[in-house]
Amino acid sequence: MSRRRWLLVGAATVCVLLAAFAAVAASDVGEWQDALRRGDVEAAATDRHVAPSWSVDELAPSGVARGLLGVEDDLAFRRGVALFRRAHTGIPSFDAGLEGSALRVQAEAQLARAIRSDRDAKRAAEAENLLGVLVVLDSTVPGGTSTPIERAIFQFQDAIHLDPQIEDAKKNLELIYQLTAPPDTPRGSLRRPGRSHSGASATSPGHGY
Amino acid sequence: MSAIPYGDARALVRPERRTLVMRVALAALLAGALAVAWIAARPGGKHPGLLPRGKSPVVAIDMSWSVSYDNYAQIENTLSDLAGSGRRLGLVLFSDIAYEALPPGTQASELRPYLRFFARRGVRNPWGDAFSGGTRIWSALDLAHKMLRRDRISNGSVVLISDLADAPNDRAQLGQTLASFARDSIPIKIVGLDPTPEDAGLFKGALAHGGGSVTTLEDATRPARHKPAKVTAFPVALVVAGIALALLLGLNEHTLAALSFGRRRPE
Repeated sequence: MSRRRWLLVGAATVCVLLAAFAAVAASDVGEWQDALRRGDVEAAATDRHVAPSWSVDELAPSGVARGLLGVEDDLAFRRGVALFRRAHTGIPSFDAGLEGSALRVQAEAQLARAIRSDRDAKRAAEAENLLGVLVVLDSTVPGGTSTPIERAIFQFQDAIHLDPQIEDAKKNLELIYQLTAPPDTPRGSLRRPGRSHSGASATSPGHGY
Repeated sequence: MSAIPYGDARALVRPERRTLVMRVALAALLAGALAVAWIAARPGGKHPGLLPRGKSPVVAIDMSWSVSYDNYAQIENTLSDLAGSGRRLGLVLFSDIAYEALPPGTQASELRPYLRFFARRGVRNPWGDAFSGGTRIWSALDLAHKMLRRDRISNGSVVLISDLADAPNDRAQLGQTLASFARDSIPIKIVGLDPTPEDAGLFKGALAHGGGSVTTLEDATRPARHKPAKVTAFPVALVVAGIALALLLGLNEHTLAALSFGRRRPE
């Protein structure tokens, strides 16, 4: 065979290999779309004990499809929110128990990982806000070694810094200010039973008459 | 035997040099591909992955009373192996409080003087009076984090050797500490000393998806026996090196093969 023919055979072989690889990667991409939908449905289920998976057994090596899709930050955020939902039940006996505290540890680590990896500032702010809520829970749950509730202030402030439009974090920050303010101050006097949120908030002042 | 001098030898000097350069380059590439294939194929040393590769690890060892006699022997063996690893590391000893025994970057051989304290339980040690016997894992992790930050080690990691029997009351601080590790992308490798499934599950869940790993000391130091075969990751480096090797050999044969002369046909 002539040199030209050798080159053509070589190039054809490389093209066939690349085509096979692309087909496998495309199949994995389709699997990921299904897995995200399936995991979201599992996460939205009412059963809090179910841990959604959002996983795919990829055929292509080294997670090529996952890398191409760039879903790492989406997955990290989803895992963080799912763990938060399982850890923050609002049931005092569960929150103070071993399972509740273990889930909070896992949720806090996962949310911190989501904040670090997320390129979407709005979503990172939401994760910061949820992390702040867990810190508040840690510091108020009976029986535990108390962590300073002021740490939550940093989380909520970080959330607002990341996304100045995030209302939940602003409300939570205002509540923490009210909780931590001395009773003889204007903020502290707002802390009354049955009024969880009142008075001046941390949001931008409204425009009136 | 003397050869018959060839009159046009000068005309072949350049092709000869070109062939020599190509031969040397191909030989070097072949040797490189072979070396990559060998490195990719071999198992990872004496203790595969006990010390994370390419990181500046701080090893934190649990000295609380919940660590059993058997575990002391395991710790001694592990420390002995780490001391012979030739790496640089830091050492934290902890119980209810944490103590910086060796700063990060210390030669691993400096661990040898500590081996005598793990020869058997009850051996007096300099920090025994300060430790009350409880377990506060977060205090050890927090100290290791501070050591890495103080020494400006950007690619640090922490290896925690513990039975993971942490006080449930300290979980709030543990959560905060693990979150701070996640924020700074510092991986934690936990070597469990016979932990309960609940304790191991807590740390596995917290370190899942990029935070680190949890193994038992038996997994990390002994060859697996009577265990189902694990599905290993696709050996990309080995396959690429193998393909490169085959292509280079083909190229070598194609370009540098000995000249062959056909038989003279009878006229």
